[in-house]
Amino acid sequence: MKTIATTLILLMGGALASWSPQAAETRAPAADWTPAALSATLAAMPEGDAARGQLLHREWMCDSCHGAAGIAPTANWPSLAGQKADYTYKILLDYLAERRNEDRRSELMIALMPMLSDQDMADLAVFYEGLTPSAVDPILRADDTADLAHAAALARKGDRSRLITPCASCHGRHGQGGIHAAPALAGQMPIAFTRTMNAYKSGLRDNDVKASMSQFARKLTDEEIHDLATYYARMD
Amino acid sequence: MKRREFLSLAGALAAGTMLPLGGARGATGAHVVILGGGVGGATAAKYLRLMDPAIRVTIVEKERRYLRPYGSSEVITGHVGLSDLEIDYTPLQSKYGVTFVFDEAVGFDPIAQRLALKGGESLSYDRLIVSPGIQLLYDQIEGHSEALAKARFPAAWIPGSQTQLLRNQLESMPQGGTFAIVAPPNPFRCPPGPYERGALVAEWCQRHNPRAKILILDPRNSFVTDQSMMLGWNRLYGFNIPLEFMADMPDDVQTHANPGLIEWIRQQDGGTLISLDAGSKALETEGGRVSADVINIIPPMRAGAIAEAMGLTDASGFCPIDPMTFESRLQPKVHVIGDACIADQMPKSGYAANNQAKVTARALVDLFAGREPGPPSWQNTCYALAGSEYGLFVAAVYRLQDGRITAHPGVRFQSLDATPAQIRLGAVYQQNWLASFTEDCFA
Amino acid sequence: MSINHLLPNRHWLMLLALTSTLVSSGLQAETPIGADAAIAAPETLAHPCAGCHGTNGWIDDSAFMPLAGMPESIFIETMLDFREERRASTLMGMVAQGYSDAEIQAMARFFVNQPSEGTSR
Repeated sequence: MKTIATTLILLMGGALASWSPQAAETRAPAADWTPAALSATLAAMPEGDAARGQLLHREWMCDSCHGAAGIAPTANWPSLAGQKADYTYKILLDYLAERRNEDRRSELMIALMPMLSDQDMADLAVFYEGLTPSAVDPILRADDTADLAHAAALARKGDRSRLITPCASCHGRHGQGGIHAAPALAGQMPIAFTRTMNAYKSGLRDNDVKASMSQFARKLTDEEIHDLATYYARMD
Repeated sequence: MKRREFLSLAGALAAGTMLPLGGARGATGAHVVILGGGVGGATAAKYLRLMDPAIRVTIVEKERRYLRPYGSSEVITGHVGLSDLEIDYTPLQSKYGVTFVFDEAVGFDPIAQRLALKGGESLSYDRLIVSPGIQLLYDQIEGHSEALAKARFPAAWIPGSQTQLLRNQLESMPQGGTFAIVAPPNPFRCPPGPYERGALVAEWCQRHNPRAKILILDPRNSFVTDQSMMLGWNRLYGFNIPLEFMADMPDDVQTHANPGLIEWIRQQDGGTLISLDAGSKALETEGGRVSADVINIIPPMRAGAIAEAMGLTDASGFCPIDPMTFESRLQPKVHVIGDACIADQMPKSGYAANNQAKVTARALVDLFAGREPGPPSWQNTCYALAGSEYGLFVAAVYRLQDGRITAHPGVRFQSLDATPAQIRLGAVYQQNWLASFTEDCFA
Repeated sequence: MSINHLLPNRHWLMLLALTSTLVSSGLQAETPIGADAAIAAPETLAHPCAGCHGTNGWIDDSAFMPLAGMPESIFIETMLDFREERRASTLMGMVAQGYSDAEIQAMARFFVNQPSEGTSR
C-alpha cells in the first residue's frame, strides 16, 4: 500500500504544476498521420506497466465513464476492456494533438491529456489490453432491429461491388483488433460504435491514417452501421 | 415608474383595445402572459407549451436582443465577445409556438387580469408570470449613479455596454495597475460571481499585466464556494488563504512570501464600501481609502423595477411567493420567479430561475386542469471557474419542507481533496453547461 | 493533497465486482428527507436534470451524457453508484446524494420513456 501511495504522490506532483494556465497555450494543428509516422511513433511507445496503468485509470477518472473493469457503465461511452494497446496509445496522442476533436465529448479527453506523460499513456494502454472484454448487456443492444446476417457478411466478406474490404481483415475475425493500431471492436457499446462510424462518414473524425476507416464508413448505410454495431456488441 | 402612476393606468384599460391574442380564454385553453424573456420567463414559456400545448403563452419583453448574464464575466477577459452572449428567440417561437410581444407593460389591473402595454395594446391573462430579474441600486452608494456606472465605473452585472466598458478598461489598465471589484451585500444574483470574476481577471493579468493587483472589497467575511475558490486562488495566483479557512486544506497549499495578484478584503478587514469618490477614482471603505485604476462596483440589488411597480415586492425589495406555485403573496393570479422572488434557501442563480419556472409551469397546468399541484422538486447546480482550466461548483437538491424551500443536508461544494482530473473536467463541464443550459431555457 | 484520498477507495473492489445489471442491494440505503413525505411526480423530479442533460434528457453533442431512453436499471445503478461514491464525478455525487431510492426510481421511469432521437438506446 505504501508503494501505491508513493507512486500516486509522484503522479500528482507532476499534475500540480499543470494547474498553471500557461500549460494551455494553443498548440499548432497537428499534421495528419502518415503510415511511416505512425509506425515510428508506435515503435517508440514506452514499455507499459499495467499495474501503474490501473492506478492512473482511477486517478484520472477514466473509470468513471469507461468502467472500473473497462466495461462502460452506460451506453454513452466506449468500453476499453481488451482494447489493443497500440490503438489506445495512438488515440491518447491524437487527443493530445487535438487530431481527435470531432465533438464536445472530445473536450473531456483533450483537457486531460496535457497532464499525462507518454509513459502514463503507455501504462493505461497496456492495462486496458489486459482486461477481458464481454458482450454488451442485452438491454443496451437492439438485436431485434439489426440484420445480423448482413453484418456478418460485411464483416467477414466485405462487399466487392462497393469496394468494401471485410472489417475482419483489419479488426480481426473475432473483433479482437489487428496490426497498425486497428482497434478491437468486440463488446463495443453500440452508441459509441455508431457515433464513431457516423463521425468518420461525415468527416468530423479524421484521425485515421490515409482515410483507412473513413473510406469505408462513407459507403455504409445508416442501417448497415446499426447492423454492425449490434454484431460487434454481441461479441466478446 | 412609481407604483401609483403604474396602477393608475389600469383604469384606462376598460376602454382600451384588446389584442386578439390577449382575448378571453376560449376553446384553445388558458392564456399565460409572461413578463420578461430571461432565463425564468423563457423556461416557463417553453415548459408550459411542452406540458400542455393547449395553453397559449405570450412573452412580453422589452429587448429583441437578450444577452445571457451567466458566463458574462468571460467577456471581460476576452474569452468570448459580447455578441456570444446573444440569445435567439426564434426557437421559442417556431418550435414551441410562444408568442412574443416586444413591448413594455405600463399598466396592470389584477382584478380584471389585464396588462396595458406601452405600445397602446392590452393583454388579458388567466395567469401572469413575472420574471423581471434584478435592478441595480447605484444610487444607494454615495457618490455613485447609473450615469457614472455607464461612463466610468461599470457594474457589468447585467450584460451590455457596461460589460464591454469593463473589458476595455481592463485592456487599457496601466502595467501594475489596480483592478477593484466591489462585491454587493446579500442577497444578490450569482453568489460565486464576484469571486469568479476576480479569478478570471487575475488569470488575464497573469499573462498581460503580471504586476497588476485585483482587489475584492467585500461586505462579508465568507462567501459561497469560499474554500474551494480560495484554494484555486492559492494554486494559481499566489493568494494567501486566511487562517480561518485553512481547515481541511490539502498539503500543497503554500504561503507565498510575495502577495499574489488577488487581495480579498473582508468586512472584518474594512472591506465594506462607504462611498465612491469619482473625481479622484477612489473608494472610501471602512478600512480606509482605496485608489484603483479600474473600479467595478457591483451595487446592491433588488427585484426588477416592474415587480415593485406592480406591488409584488415587500420591504426587502424582493417578492414573497407561495413556494408550491410561486404565486405572489401580494397579488392574485400573479406568479414571480427567478432572482426577483424570495425562494428561501435557493440562491439567485440562473439554474434556480430555470427550475422555479418548471415548477411554476407544472403548477399552472395542474391549476388549469382543476388539480391540486403535486410536490415540487428543484436543483441548483452552478459551475464556477478559478481559472479557465480550473473548475469548481455548488450543487444542491431542494424540497419543500415545513412550507420552506430547503436544501437537502450535506456538502454542496467541491471537495478540497478534488483531484486534478476533477478540477480540470469541472472547467470542461462549465463550458458545456453554458451550452446545455441555454438550450434548456431557450431552444 | 492528503494521503487519504490517494489510497484506493474502499469501494474499489466492490466496483470491480459489479455487473451491469441492477444492483438491488444498493437500493436499501435510505436518505432521511423525502423518504416519508409524498414524493414529487417523475417528470417534476426529472426536469431539474435538464439544465445539463437536456430537455427531457435529450442532448446531442455535449460532454454531458443524454438520459433519454436510458434503461431503468442502468439509470438506477448509475445514480446509486454516484450517491454511494462508488463512481467518481465532479458534482453528480452531490446531486445524487439529494435523492431517495424512490425518487431515483421515479426519475428512471421518466427517462426510459423519453425519445432519444436516432440513438439506439
